[in-house]
Amino acid sequence: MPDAPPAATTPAVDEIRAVAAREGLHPAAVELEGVRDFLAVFLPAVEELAALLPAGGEGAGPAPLGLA
Amino acid sequence: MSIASLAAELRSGERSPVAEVAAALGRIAALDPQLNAFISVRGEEALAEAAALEAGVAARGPLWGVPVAVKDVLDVAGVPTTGASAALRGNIARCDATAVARLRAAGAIVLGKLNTHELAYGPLTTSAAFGRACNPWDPGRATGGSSGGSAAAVAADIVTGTLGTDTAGSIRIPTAFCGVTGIRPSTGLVSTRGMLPLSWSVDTVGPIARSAEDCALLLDVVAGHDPGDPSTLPVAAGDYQEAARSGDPRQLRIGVVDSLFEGDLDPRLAAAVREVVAVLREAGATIVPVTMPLVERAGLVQQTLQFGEASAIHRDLLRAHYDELGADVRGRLLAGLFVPATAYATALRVRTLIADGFRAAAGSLDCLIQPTLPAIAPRVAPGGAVEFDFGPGVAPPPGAAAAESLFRQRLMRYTAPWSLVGWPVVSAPCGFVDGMPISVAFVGRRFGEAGALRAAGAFQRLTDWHERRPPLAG
Repeated sequence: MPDAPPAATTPAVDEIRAVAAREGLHPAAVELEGVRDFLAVFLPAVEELAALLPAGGEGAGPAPLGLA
Repeated sequence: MSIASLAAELRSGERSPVAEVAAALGRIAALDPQLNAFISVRGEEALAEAAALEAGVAARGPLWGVPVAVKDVLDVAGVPTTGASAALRGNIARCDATAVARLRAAGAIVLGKLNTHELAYGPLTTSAAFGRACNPWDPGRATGGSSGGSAAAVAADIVTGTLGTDTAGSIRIPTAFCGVTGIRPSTGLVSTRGMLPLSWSVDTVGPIARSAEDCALLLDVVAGHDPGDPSTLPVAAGDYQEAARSGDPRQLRIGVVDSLFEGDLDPRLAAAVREVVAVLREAGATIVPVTMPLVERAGLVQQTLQFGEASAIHRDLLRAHYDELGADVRGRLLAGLFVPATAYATALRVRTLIADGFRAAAGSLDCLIQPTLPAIAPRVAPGGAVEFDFGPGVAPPPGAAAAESLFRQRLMRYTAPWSLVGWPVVSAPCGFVDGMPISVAFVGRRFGEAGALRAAGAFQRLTDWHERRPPLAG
């Protein structure tokens, strides 16, 4: 069994550039490195949200359309 | 003059639609060079429509002959919907957005399209392509956003009512900064068909006017199920104007969200909103403290959904018009590409958890009360740089992008929780700090607009903050 993947963290610059290439973005997208600073704060905070939920996917899923 | 009074005088023949439209166009000519509230003006078309109304024999609707204007993310047939973005300059609308069509069916005349933060994706209304909107109370300060032009046009008395849109706070932020009243309706109450979307799951269209009663009048016109918009729910729209007009404070039960009066907000603003609570208590309202579970996490959950959805919506713009997008909006759209699907799914689940908790905490209360925002409108330097004020002794983080991000986060703490769960909020002026208007938010339960409007209407009958005008309005 492979090791569990690491928790989502800030994407590496290479990953950011790969996404820019995939999206066909302008070469100026190297400014994505500024985006990385934002993601370095945002993504770990989002990860912490999972701790609010029952483990193993138990409990309610997303609300049905229009009923949130 | 209120929309209700203006509409009554138009219907009775005391005033003429042509004269009202001409007068409003005159105010645009006189004031908009200072405010930059309008992106486009339908001068000749509006005058022709007013003349046609006068010549017609059709029944006179509730807004017959009333000049209005709408945020430039809502389609008006034949006019570009730019979203204040250079990338959308040629985006001519083929038909009216449903909300615009309903205004027109009620007799309103659309004068033009109003400035916004680019793509409605920011709290300032400082589009590089169309120029920033200026606050009528102090043109050296921001209007807020994203519906900045919609709030400024009402604050300056150019028109009596406008439509804005609110995803994470885009009606509440500019109405608070500009000293006017606005409603973010429950998600699913007002059709978003014909709106440039930002985040499907939380986008709303709502009215901005001087008073809760006028906002309610507009809401009565635009609310209700739209077969062309599957996100509108088949709930019965209420008689919102009557709710705003007749709320008896002695029959109101209001919860005070104590946690949002603490922490990172201007203490003068907190004190002013405590005074609102005191006014309503003195008038007989029952006031109870309430704790909204996870309210401090709700903003992050909402932003997780919005980042992913906005980037999905505007992916093609990002690809094809990268250089034409403002750096701040481009940065947010780029960041949204990196929100993992697992994070999005987690956020959806946490939303359910938070909505359940909010419902239980609010119980049968008519509404909740909190400061609309934690701060007043920021100054803007002549070169366009925004001077964010984070309070006494708090230095802004280095770099414009980091400062703007922190500013957004501070605002989102107050606005995004209710967006996340789709609850309505009425934002109403309640005082001044450093000469700039501040506001109180009345938060209704889901589809509980009437409760929030009863409280806001009662407060506005007890005070006159909503009637104050900036000197510029004359």
